Amino acid sequence: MSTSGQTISGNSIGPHFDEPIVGIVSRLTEPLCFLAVDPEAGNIMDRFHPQHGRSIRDQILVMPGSRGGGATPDQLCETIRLDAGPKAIVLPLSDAAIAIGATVADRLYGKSVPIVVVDGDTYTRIADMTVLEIQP
Amino acid sequence: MMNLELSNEEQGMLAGDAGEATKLAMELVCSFAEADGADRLVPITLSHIGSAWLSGGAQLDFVKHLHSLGGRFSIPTWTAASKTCLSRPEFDNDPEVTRGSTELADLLTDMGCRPSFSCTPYYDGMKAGLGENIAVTESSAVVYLNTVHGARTNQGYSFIDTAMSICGRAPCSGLYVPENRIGNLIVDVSSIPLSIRRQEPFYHILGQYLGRACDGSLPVLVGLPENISERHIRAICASASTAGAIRMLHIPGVTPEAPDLETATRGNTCPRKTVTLPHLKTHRDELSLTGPVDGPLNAVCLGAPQMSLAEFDLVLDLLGDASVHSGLSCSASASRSTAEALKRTGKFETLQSKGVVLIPDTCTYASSVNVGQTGLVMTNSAKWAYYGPMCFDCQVAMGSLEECVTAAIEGKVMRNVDFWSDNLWQ
Repeated sequence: MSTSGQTISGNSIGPHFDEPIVGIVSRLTEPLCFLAVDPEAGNIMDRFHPQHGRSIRDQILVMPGSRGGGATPDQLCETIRLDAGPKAIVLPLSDAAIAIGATVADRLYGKSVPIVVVDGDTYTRIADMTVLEIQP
Repeated sequence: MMNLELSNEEQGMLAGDAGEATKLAMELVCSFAEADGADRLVPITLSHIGSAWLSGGAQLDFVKHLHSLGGRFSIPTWTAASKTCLSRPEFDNDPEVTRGSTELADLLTDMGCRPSFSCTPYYDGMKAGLGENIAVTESSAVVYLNTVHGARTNQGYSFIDTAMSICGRAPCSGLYVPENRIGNLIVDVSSIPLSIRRQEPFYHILGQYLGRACDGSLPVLVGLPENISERHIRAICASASTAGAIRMLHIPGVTPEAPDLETATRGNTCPRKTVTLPHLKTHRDELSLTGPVDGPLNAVCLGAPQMSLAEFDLVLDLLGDASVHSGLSCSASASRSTAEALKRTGKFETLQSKGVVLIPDTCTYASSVNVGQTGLVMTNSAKWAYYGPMCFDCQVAMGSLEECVTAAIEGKVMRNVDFWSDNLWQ
C-alpha cells in the first residue's frame, strides 16, 4: 500500500474499480448505522451521531465502520440505488457488511461504490483532508 | 484476489456447475468471507433468513434477481418476520408495503423456503443441535440458538443470508470457531434482591444492560435463580441483542456449553461486573415509564419475539372468564405456525372472542402494522419497548405478561409498584 499526499490506495473489499476515484472527503468520527441514513437524501438521521444531519451523498466517506444489526448491506445498497450513496468508503478495518452492500449495488444496478481498507497510519493521515484520490 | 481455500465442490459452485444463482451466491459468500478474514468456508445445515422483511426496493430486486436465475434454497430455510401481517392484511396500513411484502413472500416461497415469518424458528421446527453450523439473521434468534441450543451462528446480514442458504456455505469465522465461543466477561447478578430476580421484567432489563454496558462481549451470567425458565432466558437473549452487539451468553449449569463457570471461560481470567440495582436503573428507565402510571391505556402489545404456545396458554389462564376492556386494543404477535396451531385447538377463536387479537407473520412495533399502538402502551417485551417509540407516537409502560393481561382487563396500567418505583433501585 503506497500513499503520498492526497493519493491513497488500499485493500479493495467491495466492487472492483479500474479508474482512480477523486472526491470530497466526509469524515465520520463514529461508526454509522446505515438504518439511520435517509436512503432518499443520504442524510444521517441518527440524532446521537456526531455528524447528525450531514449528507453522505457523493462524498468519499472516511469512517471507522458500520454498526447495528443485519440491515447494513441492504440499507447501503438502497441508498446507492436511490442515488444518495457515497462515492467511495475508506475504512481502517475491513467491514464485510459494508462490502457486500456495495457489491450487490454494483451487481444489480451497475453503480460502483469502491470500499477500500487502509492501514492505521494512512487512516490517521487522511483524517483532516478535504479531497482525496483513491488509486485502484 | 481470492485467498480462500475452497473444496472441489465449492470451486465447482463458483464455476457455475450448479447454475447461475448458486454461482452468484458463492461469489457473494466468498467476497464476504474474504472481507471477514476467513480462510475457508463451512457447510451449514439450516438457516433463518431476514429477506422477507421488505426493507426497501433493493431487497426485493435482489430476491427477484436470484429467483430469475433459478435460485433455490439448498438447505431447510425459515424466514424471519415480514414487515406486514400477510395473513391478516386488515391490520396493514401501508398498501405499498403490503404489495411488496406479498411479492417478496411469494418469491421466497417459490425458492423453497418454509414460509414461517417467525422470530422464533426454534418453535417452528428448526431443530438445531449442539455444535451444528447454521445461519441465522434475526438477532434474538442468533443469541437464543447459540446460547440455549449450542448451535453455531454469527449475526446474519441482509443479502448474504439468502446467498448462504442457496449455496449452503458460510465463512468460517466468528462463532463457527470454538475458540470464539469462550465467555470473556463474568456478569454477577447475585447481589440483586431475589424478589426482583424472580420477576419477568428483570430479565428484559438485564438484557438491556448487557447490550448497553457489555456491548460486544460474550457474557457469563452468574447469580441467576435456580430453575430459571426458558421464557426468561429468551427474554435476556432478545433484549440483549436489541440493545447491543451480544451474540451469545453462557449460563453455567444451565446452557449446554457451560456445565460450569470453568468450562464457560476455559479457565481464563475474565473481568467481572457485579450488577446492582442502581446499575440497572438507568436501563430500566430507558425502556419504560416508572412509578405509578395514570391515564387511559390505549393498547397492550404482547410478544417480541413472537409468543410461544405455552405463553398463549398462560394468557388464557390469566384471562379466565374475563375479556379485554372495551376500547383497549390488545394484540399478541405469533409466528404463522403458532397461529395455525392455536386455530386447530380452538384457542385462536377463544382469544379473539375475549378481545386478544392475534397478529401473525410480523412484529407489532413495525410502522406498517396498525394495532392502535399510540398513546400509552403496555408491553411485556423490552424489544417492543425499545423499537415501539421509534415507529409510533407512544409512551411505553413495561410489565410482566401477567401484569399486561391484568391491565388489558382493567383498562389501566396495573403492575407491581414496588418493582417500578425508585425506592428499591437507588
